[in-house]
Amino acid sequence: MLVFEKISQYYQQRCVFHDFSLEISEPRVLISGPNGSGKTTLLMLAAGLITPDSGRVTLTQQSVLRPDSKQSIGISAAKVALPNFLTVAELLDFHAKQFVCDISEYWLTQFGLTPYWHTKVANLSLGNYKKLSLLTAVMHQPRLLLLDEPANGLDEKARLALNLLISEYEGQVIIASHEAMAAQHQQVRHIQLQRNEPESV
Amino acid sequence: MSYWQFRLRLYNESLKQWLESVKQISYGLVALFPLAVPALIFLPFVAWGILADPASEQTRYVNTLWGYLLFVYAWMHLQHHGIVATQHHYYVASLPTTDSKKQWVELGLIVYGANILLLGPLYLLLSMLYQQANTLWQLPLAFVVEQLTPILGLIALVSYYCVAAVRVSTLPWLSLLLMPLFVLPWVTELAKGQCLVLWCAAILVERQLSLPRFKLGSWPTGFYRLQLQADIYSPRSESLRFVGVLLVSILLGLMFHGVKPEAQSYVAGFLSFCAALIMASSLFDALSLIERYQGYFNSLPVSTVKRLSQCVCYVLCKAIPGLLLLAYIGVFTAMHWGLWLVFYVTSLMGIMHRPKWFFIWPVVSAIVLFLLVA
Repeated sequence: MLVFEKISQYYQQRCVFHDFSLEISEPRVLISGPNGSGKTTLLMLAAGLITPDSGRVTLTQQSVLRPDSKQSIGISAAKVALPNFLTVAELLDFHAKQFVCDISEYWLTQFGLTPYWHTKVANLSLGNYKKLSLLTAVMHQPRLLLLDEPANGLDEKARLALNLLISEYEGQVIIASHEAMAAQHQQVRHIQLQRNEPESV
Repeated sequence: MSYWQFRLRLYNESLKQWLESVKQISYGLVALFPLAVPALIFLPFVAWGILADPASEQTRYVNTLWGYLLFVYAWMHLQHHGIVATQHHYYVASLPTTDSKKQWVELGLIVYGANILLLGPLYLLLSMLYQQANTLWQLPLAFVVEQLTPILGLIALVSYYCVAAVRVSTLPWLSLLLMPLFVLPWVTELAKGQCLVLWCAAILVERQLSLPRFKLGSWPTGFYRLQLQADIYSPRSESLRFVGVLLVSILLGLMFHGVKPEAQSYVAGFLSFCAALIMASSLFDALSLIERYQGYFNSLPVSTVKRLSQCVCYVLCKAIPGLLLLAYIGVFTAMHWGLWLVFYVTSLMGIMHRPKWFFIWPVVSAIVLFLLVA
C-alpha cells in the first residue's frame, strides 16, 4: 500500500500540497486534475525522487526515499530525463544491470522499439522516447508502476500496447492523466486533485 | 556499464556540452585555450614550489595560496553540473543505488575532476615524507610540524574547496574574497600556520553565516531590471567572470611585484588587457538573453537600438566591481586605465559585430598601441 502521510510540498513559494494524506491500495488508480494541481508532483513524491517539505511517503511501510525501495518502484515521467547521449541498447543494458533484471524482449517488441536498438536516445522521436521511458519503468517488474501522461505522443499500436500493459500488469499502477485510462480494469480508483489557489491580496 | 562508468559518462557529456556552448559563443576563446594550456599546466608547479616551502616569503605565500584556492574552486564549480549529474538528476535518483555508493562515486568524480590540482600536492607530500623518512623521526616534533604545515594546510584547503564547489551551496564569500582582500596588508605579521588557521576560521564563519538576501526595491525599472533579475536568477556566469578578474589580478599582481621596475608597466598593461576582455564578455550574456526571448522583446514598443543601448549601459554598470578591484590592487597608472578603456570598448565592439572572433579587435588595438609606444 502506498501511503502519503501529512505531506506538505511547496514549489517556489506556491503551496502544492498542505498536510496532504492519502492511502492507495487499489490495483489501478487514475489521478486527474487541472494543470498545476500537483499530479506530477504526487508521482515524483511517490517514486521518492523528491523529498517532501514535511511528512513522509511509504510503500508497504518502507520510506520510498530508501535506495532499496527503488527496486519496487518504476516511473515514467517527462521530468525523469533519460540520458540522451546513450543508444537505446546502452541505456537498457545499463538499466537492466542496475535493477538486476533482463531486458524485456516482449515489451521491446510490443512498443515497437526493436528497430531503434542502436539509435541514440537524443535522436528518438517524442513518441519513441515515451515508449522507451515506459519500458524503463516496467522492465524490472516493480510492485508500483507510476505513469505520468503515458499516452502522450504514442501511436495507435503503442496505445494498444499501453492499454494491454495497464490491464494485465500484476502490480499496482498509478496513472496521472487527463485522459480516461484503465477504464476496462475492474478496480479503478479515481482521484481528483484540486489546485491550491493562492490567497487573494 | 557499471554505475561508476555511467556517472563518468554523464560527467564527460556535461563537459562536452559546456565546451560546445563556449565554442558557440566564441571560436576565439576555444582557439586561444590550447595556447594557454602549457601555461595552465606550468602554473600549478610554480605554485606548489611556493606553497610547500615553509621559507617562502609571506605575502607571496598568501597571494599564491589565494590564487590557487580560487582557481581550484572555480575549476570545480565549472564541473559541478557534470559531477552531480544535474541534467539527469531524477533518473539517477530513480536507480536502486545505495547512498554510500553514490557518495563514493561522487567523491571519485571530484578527485577525477580536480586531478593534478589535488593529487599534485598529495604526491609532493608523499615524496617529501619518503625522501626524509630516515631523518624525520630524529628531528624535533615542532620542527617537523613547522616544515609540513604549509603542504598539509594546502592539501586540506584544496580538498575542502573541491568538495565545497560541488556540494555546498553557500559561496565562499568570506574565505575566498573578503578575508584575503582585507588581510593581505597584514600578512607579514602572521606565521604560515596562523594564516592557515585564519583561513579555516573564515570557512567556519561563512558556513554558519549566510549572505544576506536582498529584495529588489522599486529601482531599477524596465529592461535594466529584467537583466538584473536574469543575473540574480543565474548568477553563475557573472560570479565566474568576477573570479576570473580576481585570479588574473592576483597572478599578474604577483608577477608585477616580482619583476624589474622597467617591466612592471608591461605586466600592468597585460592585466588591463585580460581584465578588459573578461569584463566585456558580460555582453555575451546580455545579448544571449535578448536572442532567447527575441520574439517577446520584438512585440514590445521599444526599438532594437534602444534595447541594445540599454544592454550596453547595464554591462558598463556591471564592470564597476571589477574596476574597484583593479583600483584596490593598485598597479595601474593613468596610462593603464586608458589602455583598459581602449581594450574594453574594442572588446564590446567586437562582441556586437563579430561575436565568435570578438577578441581580434582588442588584440589588434593592443598591437597598434604597442607599436606606437615602441
